[in-house]
Amino acid sequence: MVDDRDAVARCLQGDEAAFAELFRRHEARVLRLAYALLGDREAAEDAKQEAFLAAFRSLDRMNVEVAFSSWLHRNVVWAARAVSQRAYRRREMTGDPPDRDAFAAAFDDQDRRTSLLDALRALPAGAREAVVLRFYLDLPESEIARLLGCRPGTVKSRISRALRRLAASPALAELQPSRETRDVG
Amino acid sequence: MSVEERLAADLKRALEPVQPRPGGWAQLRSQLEESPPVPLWHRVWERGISRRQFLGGVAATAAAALLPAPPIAEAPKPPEPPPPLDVLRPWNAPRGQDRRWVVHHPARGGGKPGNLPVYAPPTPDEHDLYLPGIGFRRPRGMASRGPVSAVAGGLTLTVHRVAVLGRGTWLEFEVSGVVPGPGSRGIGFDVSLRADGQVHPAGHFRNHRDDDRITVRTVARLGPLRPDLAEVEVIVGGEQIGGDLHALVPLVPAVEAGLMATRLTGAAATLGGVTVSVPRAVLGTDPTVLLLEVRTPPPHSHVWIGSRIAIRGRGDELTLLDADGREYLEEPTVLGFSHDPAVIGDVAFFPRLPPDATGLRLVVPTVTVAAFEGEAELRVPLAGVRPGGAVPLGLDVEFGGDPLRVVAAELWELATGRLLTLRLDLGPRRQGRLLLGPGQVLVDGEDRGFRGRWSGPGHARYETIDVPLPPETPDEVSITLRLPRVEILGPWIVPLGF
Repeated sequence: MVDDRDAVARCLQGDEAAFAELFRRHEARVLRLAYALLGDREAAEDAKQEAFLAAFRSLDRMNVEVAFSSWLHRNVVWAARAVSQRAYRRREMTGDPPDRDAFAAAFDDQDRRTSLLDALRALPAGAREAVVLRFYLDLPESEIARLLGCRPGTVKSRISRALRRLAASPALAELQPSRETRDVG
Repeated sequence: MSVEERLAADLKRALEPVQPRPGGWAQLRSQLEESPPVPLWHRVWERGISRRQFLGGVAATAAAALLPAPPIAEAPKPPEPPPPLDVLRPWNAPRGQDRRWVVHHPARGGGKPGNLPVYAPPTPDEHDLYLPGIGFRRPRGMASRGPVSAVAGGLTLTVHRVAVLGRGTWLEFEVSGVVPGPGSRGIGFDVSLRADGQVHPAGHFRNHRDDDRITVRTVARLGPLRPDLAEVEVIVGGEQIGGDLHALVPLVPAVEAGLMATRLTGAAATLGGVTVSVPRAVLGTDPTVLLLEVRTPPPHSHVWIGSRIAIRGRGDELTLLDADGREYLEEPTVLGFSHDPAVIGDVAFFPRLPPDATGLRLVVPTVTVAAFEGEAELRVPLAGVRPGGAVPLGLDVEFGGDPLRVVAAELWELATGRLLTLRLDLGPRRQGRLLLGPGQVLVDGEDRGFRGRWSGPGHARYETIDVPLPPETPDEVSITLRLPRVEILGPWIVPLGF
């Protein structure tokens, strides 16, 4: 498998297959990142599309020293903010629960997953971004600061405050045996 | 484990089931077409071969010239020793660097396998019509063209599809919105369908969360209705959501609502007695849709194509190859379905194929089956074992024709009752078969459900299984492992004939 750098180079030469390859390689991660930031499936899909669109359209302006994934993640954060603001302006309800299709229902920890995402959603937007980038993407604080356009100290304090709130949440309480359920909601 | 470590592990796990929908690339591509990011956008596509594919083809040719053909089965690897007994805790597996997964198998009741297909003799036009959201069906009957919505009391009901098709009625619907004063177990509601003045219940559904928001999207199946209905009314009601929602859904002949599929003949490949075929395809659309079928002797309780656990995720995608060596990777798919006990089906979505794509072949790397036949029974002595204690077993049994070693048993006392953990050594792949674990576990003949756990690279291969015990734990329990799940290594290369 070629790496992203090669795929980006091919994109810039007009190779459509390379665009498709980059999209398929990063699509799931981008969607999950957007979902973690927005807590809404439809909004996450919108943010995913917008992030890819922006990333591809500005690919020629991407710093070659920056990994494509970092470039994309920054676009996801921006797209998620834009989607969230639009939703707010339209007074749309955000915060739908995670999809619970048959696949998800096969796994346990339904309650725990939902409550964790709920707890995340209850955080201030800046703290949520920092937490998701830190703990879902495993980015260092310096990288998060660059991505969010703030100082590393700010990131550190946001994460620290968020962790205190999350630690007090039932979402991070001990696991309990899950109940049998065929719930779909 | 620190809060940080647990948060990181839980967050990744919580987001894992969020899968992209099919057609994402096609949608993005159409948006990009409005203003192509680079001027050469279409030229390379029209030429039909990318540098990656070219290099891949060269590499494959060179490798084929230098190396003998790979054997069907992987070289056996020595079994890994089980993790130390004190590492795991039932229901609360450690996370962090050691990525660990759990699958819950609810009790099936009566010790009988559940989810068995309902037999109906296939007809010649079976699966000739593809209805998005519903699947491949017979073209006789009525169906709705597009979504119909109804709003009441803060809730929105969207009926994405109704299909009244002779043998059954399918209803794909979505309920979303806000309901004040939910119960602690979520919001439950009833869905029914009114036709010819009669109300037909579709089932009780529950949005499993404890706040006031609700989003449910699913497909319900009802019995057959009159196949020339012009409209049906979908009703959502229940105490928790207050007033009912009614959506009047007009129906048209099903052939006008769906896409006629192309019948493929001879699109099949057999390996080790397992036949993978593609009897229908929807071509010239985005996505390209293939109906996959698997026949196995003897019938199995379920078959998963290209995946070990029900759905093909990233890395499990099937591939279409054309005569020019171009590859088309499957887009995320939906769960399979069954229509005949001898045949188990699935649907795969691919991007729209270019007009010059010919000589297409579908590559299916693996098939996972769960056999009805083949049980392993073992007795676990528990006399004198205290909760938290372990019993070394070292029992070698045959399970569905494959050897299995039960290394040890552990007894746990939980708030919800006693639990028995069995530590398994499933051994290496043998002659292309890789034992993944049981699909059902009985305790003294009773199905109480169980959970399988695995970690590391052995994806969906149970290292341990957790079985709830009866309240009064006897001195010895009989454990019966059923429905052996086995991954069979391919590849099946199915020529589609066009």
